[in-house]
Amino acid sequence: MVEKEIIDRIIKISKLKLEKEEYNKINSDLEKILKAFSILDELEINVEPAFHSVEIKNTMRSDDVRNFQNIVILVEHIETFRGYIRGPRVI
Amino acid sequence: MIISPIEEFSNAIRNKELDINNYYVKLNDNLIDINNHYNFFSNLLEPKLENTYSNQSLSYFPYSAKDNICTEGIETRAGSNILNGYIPPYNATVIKKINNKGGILIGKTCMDEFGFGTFNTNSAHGIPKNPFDKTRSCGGSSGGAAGITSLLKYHFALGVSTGGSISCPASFCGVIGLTPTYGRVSRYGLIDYANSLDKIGVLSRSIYDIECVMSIISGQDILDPTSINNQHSNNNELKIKKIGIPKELIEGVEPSILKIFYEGLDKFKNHGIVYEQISIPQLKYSVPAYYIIASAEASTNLAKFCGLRYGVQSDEYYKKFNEYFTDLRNRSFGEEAKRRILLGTYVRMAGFRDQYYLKALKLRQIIINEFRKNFKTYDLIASPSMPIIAPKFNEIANLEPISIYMLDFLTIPPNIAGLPHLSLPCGYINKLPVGFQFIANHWDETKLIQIGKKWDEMFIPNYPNTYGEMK
Repeated sequence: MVEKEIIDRIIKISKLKLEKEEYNKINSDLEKILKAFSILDELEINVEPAFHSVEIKNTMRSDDVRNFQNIVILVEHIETFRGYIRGPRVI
Repeated sequence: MIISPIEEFSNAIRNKELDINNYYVKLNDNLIDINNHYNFFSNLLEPKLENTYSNQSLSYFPYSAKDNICTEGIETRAGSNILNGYIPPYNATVIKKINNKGGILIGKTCMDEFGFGTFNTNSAHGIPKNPFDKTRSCGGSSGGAAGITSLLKYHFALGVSTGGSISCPASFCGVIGLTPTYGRVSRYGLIDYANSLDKIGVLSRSIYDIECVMSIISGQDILDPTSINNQHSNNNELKIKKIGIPKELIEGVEPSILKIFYEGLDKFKNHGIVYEQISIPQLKYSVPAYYIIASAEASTNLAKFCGLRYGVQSDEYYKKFNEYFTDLRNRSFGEEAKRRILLGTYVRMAGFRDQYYLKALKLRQIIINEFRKNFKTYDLIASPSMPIIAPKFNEIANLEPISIYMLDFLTIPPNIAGLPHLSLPCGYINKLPVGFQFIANHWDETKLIQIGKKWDEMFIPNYPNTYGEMK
């Protein structure tokens, strides 16, 4: 059973806002999913976690300064106002 | 000597037997008609033909790309309303490589939103219908890719697999689908679902074409630090002798599918390839481990789609920023996307992280170790590709999310372990295709190509129809 307080918190931090019907459905689905996943509780595992399935070596690009030429592309699909990108209110 | 469709096509052009402009006019008419009936494409394109292509290995050969692969100047939406209107200013590395070899992009194929689905029913831009029976699913999430592949002889599709999104639709639509080792193909320009699991692969009617396309798209890319330089070898002398069948991947499969699966495997005996049952008990944990890792990564990837830097914008600037982001995300994401964001956020939360996320990552290591151990004895590991034939849409509507997740139990093991795998059509039940899936060790795609070529000698697949013929 997932506590209502926790569900409400993950909805808030995920920046979602579910209507009552959707809330009840997804909440019930999550409970069933987590119940099925509880099969993992029986396991004690002593290996290092695999963040990748194959060995990945850190590769760095050369640290060259490259000027971004096409500023038009960057703002083409973004709404601007007097040369600034528009966004919602912060205060 | 077998001539692959790609070779046949380029020979026809070289010998001036094919007028490429007329071919594409006719093909385009066919595709418009096909799409009206089946909805394979979220964006069907007017092909751009240039004179320079005739010297290249893929000279004018048609291909399609799943809609989560970025294409310069062409809307790319990954099956989600939150990306409506997104026109990438660049090509993904795979697109660049194929275009440089003369491939012609005919369209962007339908998919589940960000790849979240087994039946391609979670799509904001239409649901593709199975070419064998329009009341059934194409499978997902590369449903459009598999659907169109089954109707075109001269074509290949770029698909993407995170947990089985190439094998599943390939099986339901009766075509071949290769998912390579994680890291073999650059993910640069792929809209992420789960970074540690996503792999770009190829669907086609021909194993020879898959081999050809893989040799083009494989290789390290400076723009994707997780891509690895491990050459795709063409070792035709390689001998496959033994195949292992994990009993955990047989239990729960419909008996009629198992019958066809074993009949297919028996045909390899004449070629000196034997199979035997093995056991990998840890595979029973692979579905929860996969969904935990995939949802955790998806929930962080999707955080950036908030209607400012990424995703559709709204004009509701009067709202405070939290309200603006929340309202826009809420109305733009579909139900399955929301479910996975919430599940992924939950399993990463303080207090649950060790119990779910870290445990799932440890399980991934154990599953990899178990596969490796078995690959010391067996050249390949096999199972049916899916435990069922393509279901009807009204049957899917009655399934709960957890029941759908559990149906992925055959395709998840190689995907969570990053192992290359190949789905081949192996027979039919009531004229609907059944696939079998072969899994090889990391970087051993050559063995998959070999088994595919052997199967090509023994099996003649059925297709619902064939369009785009050269004559």
